[in-house]
Amino acid sequence: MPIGGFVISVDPDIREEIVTMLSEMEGVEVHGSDAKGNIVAVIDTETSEVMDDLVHGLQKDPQILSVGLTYLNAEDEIEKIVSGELRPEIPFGRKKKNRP
Amino acid sequence: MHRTILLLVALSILMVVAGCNNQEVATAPTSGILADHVDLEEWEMLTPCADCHREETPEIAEEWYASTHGIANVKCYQCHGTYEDMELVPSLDRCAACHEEKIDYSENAVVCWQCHPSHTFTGHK
Amino acid sequence: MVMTRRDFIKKTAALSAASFVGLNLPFAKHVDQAGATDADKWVRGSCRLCGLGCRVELGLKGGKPVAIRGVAKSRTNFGYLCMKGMLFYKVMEHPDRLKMPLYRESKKDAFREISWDEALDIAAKKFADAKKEFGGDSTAYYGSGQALTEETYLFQKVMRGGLQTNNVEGNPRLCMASAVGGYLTSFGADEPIGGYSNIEKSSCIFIIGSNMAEAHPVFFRRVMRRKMDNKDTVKVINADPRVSPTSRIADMHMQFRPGTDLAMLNAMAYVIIEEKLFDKKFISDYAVFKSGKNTVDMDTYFAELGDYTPEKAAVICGGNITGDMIRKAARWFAKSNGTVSCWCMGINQRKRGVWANNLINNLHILTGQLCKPGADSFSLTGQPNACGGVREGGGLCHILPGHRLVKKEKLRNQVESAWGIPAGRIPPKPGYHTMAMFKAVNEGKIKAIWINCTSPAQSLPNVDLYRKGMAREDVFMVCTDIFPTLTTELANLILPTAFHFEKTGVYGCTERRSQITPKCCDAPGEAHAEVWIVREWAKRLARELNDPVIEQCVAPFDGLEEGYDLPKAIWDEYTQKLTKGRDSDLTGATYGVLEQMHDGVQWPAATEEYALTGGTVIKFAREYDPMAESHAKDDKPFQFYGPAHPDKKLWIWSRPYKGADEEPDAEYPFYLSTGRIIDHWHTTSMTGRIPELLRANPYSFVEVNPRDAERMGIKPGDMVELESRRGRVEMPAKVVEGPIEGMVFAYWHDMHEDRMINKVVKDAFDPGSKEPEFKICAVKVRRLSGPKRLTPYVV
Repeated sequence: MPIGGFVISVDPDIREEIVTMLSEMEGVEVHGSDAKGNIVAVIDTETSEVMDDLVHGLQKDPQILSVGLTYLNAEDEIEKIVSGELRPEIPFGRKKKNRP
Repeated sequence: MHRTILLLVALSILMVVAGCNNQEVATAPTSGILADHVDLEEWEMLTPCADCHREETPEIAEEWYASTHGIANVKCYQCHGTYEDMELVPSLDRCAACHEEKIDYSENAVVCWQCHPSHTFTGHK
Repeated sequence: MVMTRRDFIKKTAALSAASFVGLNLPFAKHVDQAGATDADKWVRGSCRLCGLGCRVELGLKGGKPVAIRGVAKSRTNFGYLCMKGMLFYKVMEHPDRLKMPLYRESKKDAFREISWDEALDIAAKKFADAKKEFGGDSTAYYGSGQALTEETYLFQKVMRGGLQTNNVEGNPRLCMASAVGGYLTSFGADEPIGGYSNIEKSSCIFIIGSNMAEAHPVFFRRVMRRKMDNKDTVKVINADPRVSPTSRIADMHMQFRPGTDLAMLNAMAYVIIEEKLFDKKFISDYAVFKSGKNTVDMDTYFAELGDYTPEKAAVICGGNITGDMIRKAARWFAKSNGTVSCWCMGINQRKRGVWANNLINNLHILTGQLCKPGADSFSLTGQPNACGGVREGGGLCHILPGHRLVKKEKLRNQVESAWGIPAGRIPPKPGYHTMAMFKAVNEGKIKAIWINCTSPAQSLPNVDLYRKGMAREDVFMVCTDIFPTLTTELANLILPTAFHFEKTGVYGCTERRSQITPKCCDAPGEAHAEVWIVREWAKRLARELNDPVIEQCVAPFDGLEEGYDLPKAIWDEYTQKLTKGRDSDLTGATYGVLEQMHDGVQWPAATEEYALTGGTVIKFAREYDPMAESHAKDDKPFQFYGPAHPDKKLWIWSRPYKGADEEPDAEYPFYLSTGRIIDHWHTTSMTGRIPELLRANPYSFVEVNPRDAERMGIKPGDMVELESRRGRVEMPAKVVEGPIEGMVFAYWHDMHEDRMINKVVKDAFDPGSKEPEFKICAVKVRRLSGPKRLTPYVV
């Protein structure tokens, strides 16, 4: 269950609209924003893959200028991977091959 | 940025396996609020905040004075700190020294002054 | 703060993002704190910076104190802390902490570090030599309302049972001795009948001689809440020659000329009788009237009040006092559903402090405003353990542990038997009270004195006079303390001690409540707990004097570990052997019980089972106090079983008005009064070392009434000289509608020679309680110059 800290940049004029939109998304918490259009958000998802998809979705949104990751904590997921409990679909093109 | 997160996770695994620890905790930005304050000499720093702020920020001083914090003598520095550790927006731990239960109660919600007006803290916004 | 690991990570994530764009998130510090304390522990104890006994939790990281917070479940403070309470832990790691014993043969020499062995040998030899050559009464102990009960108890045991002197005193003599005298003479038993919780049930709060908004901020918060939540039904009266921050919540501020409170209080009693506002049944069931040595009837008492009709009293009192104001105050007091009076130094530190206490107690007896929820005659205490350690533990020259008088042979014998020492070992004559003790030091009658956890070289009235004695070469002085003070500067031997939370022990706060603070971190350097120091010193003393009885005083504690086992054994001896069956019965308040409580136990509490409920909320009321039941002599609901009144009655005292010892005259035309400020504690040896607190009030200043200031051309910040027949100081002026016209008010915490107000204050004292009149003397006031740059000073 990774947790990431992000700075999402938008046009200052539509900042509040985007804050509202983000706040309504599952797994996204908005912690603050400034007049320049920087929005501080924390994303908390079930797996890294879900987070990846979510961030990818945001990046494709034409109103969002950029999505920057500043902090990532996936300690419990990593623990599970290390202990063998979880086998991640890692993005090295071996996804299908390695899947049992 | 696509796949960045998965890559980062993968890298983390390598680090953990290699016995490294990436528990890096980001620290709070320094607020630097004194940068906007008039320069004070050491001896001038020995003046209670309110002595000047009654003149400089009269509305705030008055709001505080009339509040329960004002009546109970909970002075500026108790929430905002002094010159070494001054914060324009106090951190919640300063509130927590007395209002810990209330903060626990609002853990998933918000900071005190989102609902209670700052410096007055009476009633709700 | 309960923050889950996930919450913590989320906040860290947000902070990290915010830091990239320079956003300041409100919980920044909180996350750091939660992170800092994530893996560490919180230890519950008491605050030590006033008499309230607020419960705190000290946060430790790697064994070092890093944070503090209030205990929400504690009945003393419900989680609230004042600024001193929030910050006091910061002194623990201060670089000025004393870490090694320091010694000098002559007071002219510089101190040198010595070993504990050497230090204890020197201390033992000097006290033994004094006893051998000049007798036990040439030695003395001067302690503190901040010492733990275990410490005071063990010190007085060694002094009395070992050195055979009752020269056992402490700074509580300077702050609450008059309240003791008042309670004993009015109610027959020391200490308040009720507690803080009466505030939430009261509908009239009569504050006199207390600036609780600054001296007891967390208690004031309760009073404030009571008033603000019940604006129309609760009345607050503040009676004080000075308008203080406490006045802000008052419906009526009674501003009288300093020292005329006796007339005002008598006038309130006059109104209560004249207007038939008294509780006839309560008086006939429980009270008698006393005038001098005689028991009189109500008519005689009322006739004696004839000099204090409200109109006559208003003339004596001056200020804004009118006959109507006194009548109104008396009616509010008498007619309310519950009246609590609160007072502190303004009443106690008076030439007639005991009488002033009696007159407040009178009002409660006359109106029956006692022994019921919401009604009490409640003396506030300044120090965290003046009640528990000194009043209950035998820390004054005339009392033994468990509220026993020295002069009663039967009670002395009880103590001797509990200690296993020969009967007759404790001398029958009370020792020197504080002012007499330091006078004896001046006169060279005391050859060896031990000063523990207090700084008389700053805190005594007319202090310069007594510093001369302490500086004498033929007076050997030992100080036990955590920091250098003005007093350690006059010592021969300085012994470094463990601070709060660096040792275990019990404090008994204002409301008869005993609370434990456990050791949770180590003292710096070679500092030791006082109980260890006394024990080791006593063993050497026994050898020096070849006296096995001294050895016997500490034998039950030999070899015990100083952090916990030793204080526990001392507490057990004191509570189980010496409080059992006494009105301050703490038999049920064992360490085991105290450790379980969020707050503590209010005595009497004879069994552990009962102590676990929190003990006795209201003394003497059968409904609340099991001892009232077991001591019942009839079927009435209240039983006043206190040890001082053989008739088991409450005594209403006829006391005439007497002014201050030194009133203003042509040469010294102003009243001077002194007091406290919220940011500082006593002599600032602790709070002066906390930057936030020092800055908030870096030096003492003198409050001048605006009309006086105008007359003398004094502007805010001007330097002003205050001079009395004893000494002079100069401090910056604060021109404020505080003190009554003709009075100046100075803060007493400043250590700087130029600003130490106790050089000016008079050392007159109450003939009954022997408590000095810090609150009133006469001074000249003179403007010296415009504002001057001053430097804060801490030894």
